Amino acid sequence: MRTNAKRVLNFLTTNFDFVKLLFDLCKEDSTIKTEELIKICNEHNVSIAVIINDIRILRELPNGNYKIHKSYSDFLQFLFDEYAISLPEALAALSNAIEEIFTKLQRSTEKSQTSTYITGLNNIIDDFLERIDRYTQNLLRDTESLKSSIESATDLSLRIKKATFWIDKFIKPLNQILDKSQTKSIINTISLISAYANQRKFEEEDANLRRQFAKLYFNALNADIDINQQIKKLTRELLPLLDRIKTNSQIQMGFYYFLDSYENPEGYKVPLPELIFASRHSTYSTIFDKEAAMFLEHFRETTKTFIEDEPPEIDQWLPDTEFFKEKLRNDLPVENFYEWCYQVLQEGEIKLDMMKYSAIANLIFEKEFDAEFESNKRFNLELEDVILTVPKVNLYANISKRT
Amino acid sequence: MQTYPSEHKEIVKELLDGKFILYSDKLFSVIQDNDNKDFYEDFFQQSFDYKLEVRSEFIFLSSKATTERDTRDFTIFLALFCRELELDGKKFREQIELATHYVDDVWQTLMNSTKKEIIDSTGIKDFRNFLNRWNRKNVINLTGNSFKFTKAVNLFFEFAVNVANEKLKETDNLQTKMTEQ
Repeated sequence: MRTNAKRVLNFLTTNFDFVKLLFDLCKEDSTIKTEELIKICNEHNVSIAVIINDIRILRELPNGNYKIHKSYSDFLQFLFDEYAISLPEALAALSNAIEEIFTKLQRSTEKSQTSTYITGLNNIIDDFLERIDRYTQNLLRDTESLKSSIESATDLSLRIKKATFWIDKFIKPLNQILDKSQTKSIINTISLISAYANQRKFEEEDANLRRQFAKLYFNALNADIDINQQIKKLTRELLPLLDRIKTNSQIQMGFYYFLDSYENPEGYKVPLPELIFASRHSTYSTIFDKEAAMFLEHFRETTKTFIEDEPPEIDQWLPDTEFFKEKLRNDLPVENFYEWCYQVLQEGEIKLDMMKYSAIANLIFEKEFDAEFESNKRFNLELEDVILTVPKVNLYANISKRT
Repeated sequence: MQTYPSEHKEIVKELLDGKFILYSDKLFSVIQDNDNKDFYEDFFQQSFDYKLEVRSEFIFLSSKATTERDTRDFTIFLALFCRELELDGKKFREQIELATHYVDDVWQTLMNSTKKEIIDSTGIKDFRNFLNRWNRKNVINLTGNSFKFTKAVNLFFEFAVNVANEKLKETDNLQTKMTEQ
């Protein structure tokens, strides 16, 4: 049964919300579970029989679930501007198909076959260009969404992973497909098709085929320009942009974790830059000359001189107390005993120091003498080593002795 | 007999002073000359046990034995500043690489940060001296009341990328283990 175009468009217009919901639910793998379909049909008052048999938007799968029809899927993607991104492998397959059909076209000898191959080539080149365009648009749009400021480390981590995935799984393989330096790249194949079609559009005898080759020539020429523009977008805009997003997110994430553990960065697995700080590191010491002179001093030969210590001069002479005691007995009574000691010692012309003076002055304590102090009468005696302040003492013979 | 480049004394002095020699400096091309690069790598290694690090935009010396804390402080400063720029809706990388920053404005930005308490435990708090130190090292170019970051700042970005990659690796390993269990 043929699909009625008017009915289809009417259905889509009348049930727009239902169609959008169905499209969203099928987005992942183009299928929807039976129970989900029944639920949304009931909610939107849509007959399952109509959408399967009349509008033919879905077809039943052997497992009982439903799959959205490819034509609807492409059309709805276009309507909602939400294309499912093709894997680079799908584009590579298209690229291979173009090359294969081109080889067949070159070998073809029959007019009808040649015509079919030209039409086929035109269609597949258009399909390829359309997919590349969608691909680039999708990547650009998704990349824009990645640029939004995200604060948490988890979001940053997801952003890095997504950017890495796109670069490694999509852009780099796509670049390989489009890479001019590869002999079998699509760019080179399209150039060959363009040159071949250009030549055949003049050589071909059949007017119809000439027109077809002319069309193929212009199509290939435009494709060449178009692909070059896509390559520019991918390699000069998208790839650096994604790379920058990835690196910037890594920097923010790295700093995030660093600030989190800044108190103990030494314990962290990644060391901080190990910079050196200004310090004077002369290859030789700045006081090298003085140090060297001091060192060499040790090796200088010197004549040994010995200095003998002189024995200290100790005056061990002490007055003969017995002699002075006898003299004192004879001089009794003595009016000023300490003065007398000083006088008698001075007569001997000796160096009168405290030691010698005391030896004589101590006679005052002998039992045979009586001492009488005169209060408030003191005088100074200047000896060699000390000045003595002594009282005036009169000395007499002991009374018991006197009697 | 060993012949030295005429800039030898200057090169050794600059690097031992802990300075970055930038691409725009004439000394950069002297060191980068192939014969000289090998010579200086060996010279600094043998004389001081320092490693000569030659990058595409700057050259500096590194040492495993370093104990200084100022590098940690500068990384904290840069991390905080980048964070605040991003939160302010600015493209932090462009700002760091291209913009002129006014000392007072940057200080105010740091003071308005929710993480400003970090600064108190670092040498950043004496901001002017801190900037002077990094100006001497050619990591920033301080002129009066404003400064610009030089290309040497990329070394700190490199560090952050390495930290992030290490962290992502850890998370991936953890997820793999959990999946296996």
